[in-house]
Formats: sequence, structure tokens, C-alpha cells
Amino acid sequence: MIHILIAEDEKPISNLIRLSLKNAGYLCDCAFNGTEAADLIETGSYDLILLDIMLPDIDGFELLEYIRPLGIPVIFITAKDSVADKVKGLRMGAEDYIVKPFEIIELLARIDVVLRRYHKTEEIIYAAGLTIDTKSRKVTRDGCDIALTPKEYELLLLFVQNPNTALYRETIYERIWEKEFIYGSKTVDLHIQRLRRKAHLEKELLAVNKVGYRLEVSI
Amino acid sequence: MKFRLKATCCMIILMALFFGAGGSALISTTFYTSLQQEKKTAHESYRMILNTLQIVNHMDEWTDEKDITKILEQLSAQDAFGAALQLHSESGILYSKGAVAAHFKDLSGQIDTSHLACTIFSAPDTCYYLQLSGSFFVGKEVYYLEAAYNISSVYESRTQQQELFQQIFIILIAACACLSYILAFFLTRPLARLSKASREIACGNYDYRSRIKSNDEVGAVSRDFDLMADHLQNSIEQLQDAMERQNQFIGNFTHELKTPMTSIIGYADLLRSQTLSKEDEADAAKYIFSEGKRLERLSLKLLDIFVSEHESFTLTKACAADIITSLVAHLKPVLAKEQITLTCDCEPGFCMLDTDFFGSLLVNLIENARKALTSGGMIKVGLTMTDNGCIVTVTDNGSGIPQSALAHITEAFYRVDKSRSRAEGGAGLGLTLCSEIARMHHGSISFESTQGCGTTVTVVLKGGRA
Repeated sequence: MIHILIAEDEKPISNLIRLSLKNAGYLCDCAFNGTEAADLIETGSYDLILLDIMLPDIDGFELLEYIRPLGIPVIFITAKDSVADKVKGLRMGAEDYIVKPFEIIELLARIDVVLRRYHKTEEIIYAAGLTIDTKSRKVTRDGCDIALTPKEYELLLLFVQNPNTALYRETIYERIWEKEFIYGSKTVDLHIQRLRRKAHLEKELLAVNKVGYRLEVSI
Repeated sequence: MKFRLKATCCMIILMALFFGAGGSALISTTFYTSLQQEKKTAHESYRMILNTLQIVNHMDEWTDEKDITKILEQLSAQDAFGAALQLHSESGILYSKGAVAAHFKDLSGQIDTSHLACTIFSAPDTCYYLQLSGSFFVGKEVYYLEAAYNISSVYESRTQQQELFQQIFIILIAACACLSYILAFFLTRPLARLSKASREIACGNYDYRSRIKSNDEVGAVSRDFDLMADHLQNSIEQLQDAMERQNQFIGNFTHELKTPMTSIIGYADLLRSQTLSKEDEADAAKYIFSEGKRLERLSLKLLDIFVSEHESFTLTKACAADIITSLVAHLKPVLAKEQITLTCDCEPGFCMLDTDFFGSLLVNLIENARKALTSGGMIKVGLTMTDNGCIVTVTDNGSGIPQSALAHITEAFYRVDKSRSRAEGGAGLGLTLCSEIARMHHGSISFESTQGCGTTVTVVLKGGRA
């Protein structure tokens, strides 16, 4: 199981990330200041660290110096969205940079990208009777290939990464189409219906009334 | 054209003009005097010959020209006259001696027996001669006697003087050019420094000064310039300071704003899209509420600060002691629950106050004192009246403020202990507001603190007495 350290001094945010990551199937530890984070890094073995820049005791930049030799990927979490800070963080070896206020779904996507880059996640995902090879982008069910368009594939991946979570139409649209959702648009529904039919997900990929869709998976 | 070149040219022109005129005048005068001298000598010599001839003529009347010629020959043998001598009558030349005689000019129209004519001619041998012509009667016949005197020496000395003068003139002008250029160079050097200083400052090197130490006008300009640069530097530094503070404020403000917003949006999203356990659901709701409250506090405090900074406020006649006593009575039971004793010692009297902001000031200071008292203690509020207002002191025996933090505690969003302040719901704006309130009462706020022993906050208000 993927083990993630959350170094964030704001208890509400720390708790929020922990809850979301737990639901997404990650194992989390929380540190509320720099010293605590350094201690945890020393004792535990983490696959990823979410690091707030403005930490008490030891700030994020200093901690990054300490983490770098260990080869653990780091995603910065900060309220500072100045370009100078971003460049500094990335240049110092952070894998990614996420600015508050952020949406949890975005954080999860970034975590997934970083983990995949470090080959920490399985290349082959098994979910709802499907086998998804993330490397070759091939989806099979019981050994039979399922031909999906790129958008349908991305849709499937989004649901698999956020299991048992109601994904709102606008959220789906913004993540997959990377454009602002226009109210009343049926694009998302059309694609999901096709995906459902092709991948035989009629029982798992459920419509949530007036909201969007949810992939039900038994953990 | 550079100033030093201009000055040099002017000096050369003036020098050439005056020296040339003076020198020429001197040479001409010398020449004229020498010429007069020569003329005088020539006249005397000529007169002598003429007189000799007339005396001889008186003694015995000549009958023919031969006698005269003879006498002239005798005289010329004595070499008493100049370069040439010629005697002629109406009928022709009677006697001629000297090669120059051929170049004699005919001056017969200008002369009579009592008057001599005088002219200067130059012969082909480049010599200058003074010709004197006169006439005399022998019997009824008029004889003309012409004599030439070599006066080349006068002309030669003039030429020599002119040549010498030319050489001196050239040397002097050259020397004058050099000297005036050097002089102009030294005179304009401070200007070059001043110009360099201006350019440096224009390029952003605000520390650069001209620093010309002289008592003349240029020195005065330099001092004025440096003074101007000082003021300019000050203003620019102030502006930069203000900008930096503003940037800091905006940076802190966005942080303060974004943190609760992230939580609120995140928990709300979690609630709407996932089925959480009862426990987690309650947690999420609690955090949405508390973070929402935090945003509310932040906006209210900020509003207060903006109002105190920008809006007009009214100072009214009020009894500060009454406000304090009623507030203390109100807070006393609340604080007593935390084992904190709140006392006050107020001097009665009226002064000019904005009562709302004065109350806010007290609440903020007492609140800060309460936060410093983690395990009970005492808070004392004191009030003394002054000539133009009052002084409020709030003393506690709590944890105190570290010396390094004292200078920053009135800055917006500054916190001595970030995590604890957040836990207690502070926005980091309380003392910023207090110092703004002191400022609008024309006063000041100061802190005195010993770590572990407590803090005394002194607010001096100078709104005036009523």
C-alpha cells in the first residue's frame, strides 16, 4: 500500500487531505510541524510527501534539502502562488506544486501522476472486473480487448482513481476536457453512456441523481 | 563645444585683440618718433647746405652756375649731406651726385623760397630715402636744390620689431591658450563631477553624492544637489518600504484567506461526493463551521482596520474611566472561570475619544493578555489622565513576548506563536488594529515585556481634553 506523509500545520487541511487520501486507498501519516515531519521521515518509509512551505520550526524549503537525498518524491502545498516561489520549489527538486485553495480531486490526480512517474503504483489496475494497463493504455475484460477512445479511457481512469466517490458533471468535464463546464451540456453523459456499454459497467458506474456519476467498487 | 574650449577661445581672441593692438601701437609710435628724428636731422643738414649757398651768394654774386656747382662739390666732398644731391634750374639739371638722384620726385609745385617740401620714396635697391626739396633765387633765377637721405635704418628697425613682435605674439598666444585651457579645465572639473553624480543617480545609484568641497558657487550647487539627492533617496526608500510592507501584507492576507477557504471547499466537496462515517461527517461539519468563523473574524477585523485607516471618525467627549469600569465588570466573571483576576485602577476625567474604537482597543488588549495567561494569573488595567488625553496601561503576569518579536507585533498577520494563535482563533490583526486606533487618537502604542514575567502595554492617546 502506498504510504504518504502529510506535513501541514493547519489541522483542518491536514485532516481533509488525510480523509480524502484514505478514501482513495492510501495510507497516511500527519505531521503538524517541521520537527515532527523530520522525525517521521527518519523512522518511516514513505512513497510520497505532501509538504507545506510555511511550516513552523523547520520550513518546507529546509525540509526539502533534508528529503532530497532520500529520493522520496515531494509535492509542495502552499498558499504562496508567486512564480518565484514555484520556481524555487521546483528547482530544489519538488516533483509538483499545488496552490491553496485546491480541489481534492486535483490533488489526487497530481499524486497519481507523481507516483506513476516513480513507478510506485501498479502499472496494471484491476477494478470492477476490468484490467487496465496504464502503460499501454489497454483495457481488457476476461481477456477480451475493449476499444476505448482517449476521452473514454481518461474517464474510466478518473473513476477508477476515485472509487466510491460521486463525481460531479462539472468536475468530470473540467478534469477530462480541461474547459469550463457549460450548464446543461450533455457531453459527459454521452461519453459515460458509451463507456458503460463498451466496458459493461452498467452495474458499477451509477448515476447519482442530479449530480453526476459514481463508480461503486467493493474494497 | 565644451565649456573649457569656449573659455580658451574667448581668452585667445581677447588676448590677440589687446596684445596685437598694444604691440602695433607701440611699434608705430617708435617708428614715427624715429622718423621724426631722421627728418629733423635731414632738415638741419639740408638747411645748412641751403644757408651755405645763400651766404656764399650774399658775399659775392654768382654770375653763372659753375660757381654754385663748385661750392656744391666742395660741400659734398665734406660728406655733410645724405645719399644724393641735385641742383636744377628751370632750364635743366646743373649738378647731380649719387645714384638715387635719378629717382627724385618732382615736388616743384609744392615749394617756394620760404617753404620746404618733404617726401619719402623707395629706390629699387629697397632702401628708403627722405627727399627734401627747396628753392632759392640767384638774381632773378630760381634754383631748386633736392637732397636725399637714407632712412632705411628706421624701416629696418620697424621690420625687425614687427618680426620680433610676431614671434612673441605667437608664443604668448600659445602660452595663453595652454594656461586658459588648464584654468578652464580646473574650473569645470567640479561640473563634470556634478554631471557624473546626476547620471549615477539617474541610473538608480541613489547612494552616489557629488561632494565638491569648495566655497564658490559650484560648491553651493553641489551641496544643494547632494541635499536634494538625500531627500530623494529618503523618499524612494520610504516608497520601497511601503511597497514591501504592502506586498508582505498581501502575501499574508492571501495566505490567511486561502487556508480556511481550502478547508471549507474541501470538506464541503467531501461531504457532497462521498459517504463518510458519522464521525468523519461530524468532523467535516465542525471544520467547515470553524474555518467559516475564522474567515468571518478576519473580514471583520480587516473591516475595522480599513475603517480606522480611511473613514472619517468622530472624537467625542467621553469618560474613559466609565468605559473601562463597565467593560471590566462585564469581562470579570468570564475571566474568573479561567482563574484570571481582572482589576482596574482608573483616574476619573473626560477626554476626546472615539468610544467604539476605544472599547475595541481595550477588548483587544485584554484578549491578548488573556492569551498570555495559560494557567491563570492577573490582568490590571490602568488609566491616567494627561493634559491632552489619557494613558491606558494593560499589565499581565503571563508568558511575555520575546525581545526579537517586539518590533513586529503590530505588523498585520504577525504572530509570535503561529500554531497557538490559530488554535485560539486569532487572525493576527489585533495589535495592528490597536496601533491604528492609537494613531487615530494622535497617540502611540508601546510594549514592555520580560519573558516569563509578563507584559505591559502602554497606549498614549492624545485626542485632547474636554
